[in-house]
Amino acid sequence: MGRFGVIVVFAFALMGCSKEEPKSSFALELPAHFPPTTYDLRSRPVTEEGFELGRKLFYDPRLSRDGTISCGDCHQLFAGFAHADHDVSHGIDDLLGTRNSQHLVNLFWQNSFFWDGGVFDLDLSSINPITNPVEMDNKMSDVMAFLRSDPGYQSLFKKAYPKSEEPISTANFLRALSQFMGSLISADSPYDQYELGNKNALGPRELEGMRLFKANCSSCHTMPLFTDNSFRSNGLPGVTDIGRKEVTLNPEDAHKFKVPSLRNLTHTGPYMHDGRFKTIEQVIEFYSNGIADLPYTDPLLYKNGQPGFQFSEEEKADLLAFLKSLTDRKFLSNPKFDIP
Amino acid sequence: MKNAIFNLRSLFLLLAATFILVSCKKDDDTTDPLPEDGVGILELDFDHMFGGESLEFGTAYTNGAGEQMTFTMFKYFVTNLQLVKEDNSIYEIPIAYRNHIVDHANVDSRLITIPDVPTGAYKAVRFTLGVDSITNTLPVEQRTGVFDVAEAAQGMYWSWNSGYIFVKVEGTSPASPEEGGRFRFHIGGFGGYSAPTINNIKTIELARKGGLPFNIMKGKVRNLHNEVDLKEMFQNPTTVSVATNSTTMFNPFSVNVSENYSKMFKLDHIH
Repeated sequence: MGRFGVIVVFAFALMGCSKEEPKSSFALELPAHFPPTTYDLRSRPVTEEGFELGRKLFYDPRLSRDGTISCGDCHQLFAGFAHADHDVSHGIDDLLGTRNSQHLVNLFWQNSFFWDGGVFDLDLSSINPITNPVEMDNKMSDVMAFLRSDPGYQSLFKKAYPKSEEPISTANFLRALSQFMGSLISADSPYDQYELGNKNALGPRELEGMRLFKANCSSCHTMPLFTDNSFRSNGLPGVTDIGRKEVTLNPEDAHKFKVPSLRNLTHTGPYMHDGRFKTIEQVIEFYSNGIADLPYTDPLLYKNGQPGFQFSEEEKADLLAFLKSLTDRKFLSNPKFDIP
Repeated sequence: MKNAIFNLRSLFLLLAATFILVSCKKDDDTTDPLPEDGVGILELDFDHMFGGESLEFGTAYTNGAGEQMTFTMFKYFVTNLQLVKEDNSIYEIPIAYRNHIVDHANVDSRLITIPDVPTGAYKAVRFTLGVDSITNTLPVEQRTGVFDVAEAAQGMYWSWNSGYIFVKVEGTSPASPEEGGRFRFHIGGFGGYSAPTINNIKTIELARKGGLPFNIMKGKVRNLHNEVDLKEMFQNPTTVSVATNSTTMFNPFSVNVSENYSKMFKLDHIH
């Protein structure tokens, strides 16, 4: 906690220079072992009022076309902000999306959003699910009209943006959601405790798993965020979704998807962009022996000219133990992240 | 703001009527007298057409591929408006009047009024047809006015692949294979944020034939009457067929469509 303190004080010193000073301090803990955030917290600080407004918005189904579905329906706290037991997202009118609902974690450190990275700014990411016909299917103008008509939101926006002439603006709305989502910081798993100096946090099995992970997995699932924010194909067979190519139109990006973080992995299943694997064991088995030799399979997934890592049973068990140590119990039950 | 424009328009109509009563002479081909120092008003009139006929929603037209097209939507961004002076220096239109969405469904939007233009000789009006890459990557708090994705720019923004739609044309055609004969051309693409991709940003210049300058006169309204022929979007150099391209959005073919439509603006005459 002592190391966090320094960072937080520093962050607030920076925030003090911005035009809209936070009305009250907010204990946004930037983990000591994390790199600097991608999201510019100097010009876009998190305040307690902004966070609380974002939290209310996140869980408010009235942002959807028929008032039935909120962000929190497909991004559940107990599932590490993924959609528990859903291979693909399940939206309004029981319509299904085409990809697995991503778990929201450590978003201030990401530089693109969604499986294809089509959105480059966290503040713009919320427009996508709100307007997507198979998710919340609303119009942004209708959302803004609703917020302006609601006395509760009128006062919450005023509190969150005391210096804004027009507190209920598109930017303030989107930034409030970012303040909540970005504050979903998970950095207190046994792995993190180990990294921060508690050498008892991981047992011998986890440590052996970590060694294997570093040797085989961490070039893409880069620690401590467990993603390098790149787009790759992991050689899943039978993928028709063109993935990143939809965004860049570059043929070389066909069937590539963003490398997901592995934090809280025990709770974020099912796994892969299409949710095809239900258990972590299946995922490990896939990386061990299931990777298809496709023209676009990432070269880092080959060992001795063969796709896959051919782990022994013991190695699989060690890896599993390490991956389980990425679960942050405090995060998954943090009342501040729950429905207000 | 709206009232001010309305009043200016009324004033202009009154002036125009007076002018017609006094003289029927068009001043297209004459050189203006030297203007005295001060400011005048510039109006840009966008007269939408299809193959030289006045464009009406609900009317069927025939494109260069011989297909019938009936339109329900024609909307585009006119941004970064600037005036090119005779000496090639630039007068930047103040930010409040620089950016617009022209919507065929909204008659008022087809007339852009720019007040307080310094008097002098200008040879062209220049604008971005679409939205430049800097604006496409602005933080949300700077996306105000026509760039507000929940207000003016609603429907002119792709949420799944962050970027504005530059030109949006929709309608129906018996040649379209889609349900209800629907066609949709949503053209955008600013070149990509972290990875390069298509760029359909076009710069349009409106100028008189022969580059003859026009003057902004003190206290006077100058009206540039521009013809915008939507037929050009579907031909020259690429013939765009509704049968094969009924849905053209963020894809490589859109580059041909934007190349076509970059030639659809023509300054016809000046009042």
